[in-house]
Amino acid sequence: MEVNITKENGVVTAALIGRLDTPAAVEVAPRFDALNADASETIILDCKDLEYISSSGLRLFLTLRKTASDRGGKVIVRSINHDIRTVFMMTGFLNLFVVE
Amino acid sequence: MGQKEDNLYQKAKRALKARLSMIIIIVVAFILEGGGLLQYYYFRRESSSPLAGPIFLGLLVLGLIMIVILMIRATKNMKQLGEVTATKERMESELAVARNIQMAMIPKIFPPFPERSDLDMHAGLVPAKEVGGDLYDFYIRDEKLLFCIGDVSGKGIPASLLMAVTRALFRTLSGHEDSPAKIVAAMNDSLSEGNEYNYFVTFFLGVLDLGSGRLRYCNAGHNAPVMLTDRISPLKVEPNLPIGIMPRISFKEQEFQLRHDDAIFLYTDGITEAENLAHQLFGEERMLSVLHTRRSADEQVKNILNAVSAFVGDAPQSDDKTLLFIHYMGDGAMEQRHIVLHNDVRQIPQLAHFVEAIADEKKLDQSLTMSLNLALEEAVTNVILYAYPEGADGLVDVEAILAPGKLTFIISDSGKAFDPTSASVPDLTASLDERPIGGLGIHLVRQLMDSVDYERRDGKNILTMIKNI
Repeated sequence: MEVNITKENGVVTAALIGRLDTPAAVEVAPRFDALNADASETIILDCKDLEYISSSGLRLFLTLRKTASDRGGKVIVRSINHDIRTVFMMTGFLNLFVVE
Repeated sequence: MGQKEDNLYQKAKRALKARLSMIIIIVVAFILEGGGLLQYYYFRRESSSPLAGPIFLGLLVLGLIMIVILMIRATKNMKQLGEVTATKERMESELAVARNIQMAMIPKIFPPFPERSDLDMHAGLVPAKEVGGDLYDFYIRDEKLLFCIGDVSGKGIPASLLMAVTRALFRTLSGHEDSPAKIVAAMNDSLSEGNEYNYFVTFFLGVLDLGSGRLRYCNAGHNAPVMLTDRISPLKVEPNLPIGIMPRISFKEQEFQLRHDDAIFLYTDGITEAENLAHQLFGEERMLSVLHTRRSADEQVKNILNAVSAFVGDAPQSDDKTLLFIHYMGDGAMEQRHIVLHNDVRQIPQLAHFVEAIADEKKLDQSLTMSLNLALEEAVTNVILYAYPEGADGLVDVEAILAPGKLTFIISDSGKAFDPTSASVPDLTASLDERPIGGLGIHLVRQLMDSVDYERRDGKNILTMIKNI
């Protein structure tokens, strides 16, 4: 699991690549800590290459979303595949995130 | 019932014979007496004739007395005949009641489990006399079908008493014991005690686990049942002794794995040894030729009984006939996959491989594969993180049962008792601030699977998840 973070014009883009399962969530937790630090900005979670997500990954998303909300930032979830969209729907995440 | 009935019959026959001869004698005596009287009056005018004398009159009076005696005796005989008939009628009506009681002991409403789609059963019992010594019985408890068939040595009333005892013992002793050999051994001990008349019972007892299709059985001297799988062949049985002969002997237990659509056919020798007028036996070969791998239990039983009737024709039935047909339509152990993981989240990729291998094999599409992966990961992660004390090593067992149209996953661990299905459903409409970070795992499992059941058994948490495919 890779999380590639780039910053451009005050927009933080994190490209998530691979499977975000429970051990991957443990592995990439520090990368999300870094994103949380930028939570006052606009953060785009680019999910084009995200194959899979479990509740551990969803926790990282939700934590980031809450931090952004506290600090006046924005979280945009971009390009999620059909299956992950279904998971977002089942968990009510479609109501919590801007999904593009 | 033989001897007693024979006595009654002989008595009645004798009484009838006596009555007939009595009537004939009385009629003849009346004719003679009438002739005598006519002659007496005719010859009285010629007083010289000996036929008008006092001796002749005396003989006539003597004749009259004898007729009266004969009539009294005839009446008495007729009364006796009435008594015999009444006794016979009473016994017949008692036998009819006994027959009803005996028939009420065995299950005879078919289909017996209309609510179950995994089981199709039918049975029949035709006693040779009013009551018989054959039995079958079955019931379901703890998702197991317990069934038996038996044949008491002898026939009629004595055999029927032992049949009733055997059936009661089966019900009582199988209530809390799953091992057929142990149940049979206990039944044998009870029956052998005080069995002075040396009756015995050939008996077959099976315990079919309806979930897995695993059949455990014990055969105590009974005919080997017939298995209907992709072919028709007798079940391999150990030659154990029949029950009731001597106490404290051990019985061997055996196993057979039933698959979806397999069937087992049990019968007593009244079927194979049914005789026609030429004293030929119906035989195993004819019986097997009537069985068919693809027919309902109801049809199989009817076909066998019809075939036996057609073969036997007008010959009297000499032995009780019993048959029991069990068609298993559960999942059986179609295919099983198994993996054991340590309580470490780093084992999750192994679980994913396990699931993907099943998905490949079953040619499941990507979305379904992801659903299974996610549900399994959530359920297993839950165990890994919470079942065992921190730092303690523990195992998670994942079993997959692959049946047509249905995947079953059984996740078990020996950790502390915890029912994940009791977790409350998260409020998906809550605002961001109100949404807790966790609590989504089991919610996803519920959403992704068709059924999720928790059970605590033998110190284990057992979570069974089913996905219809």
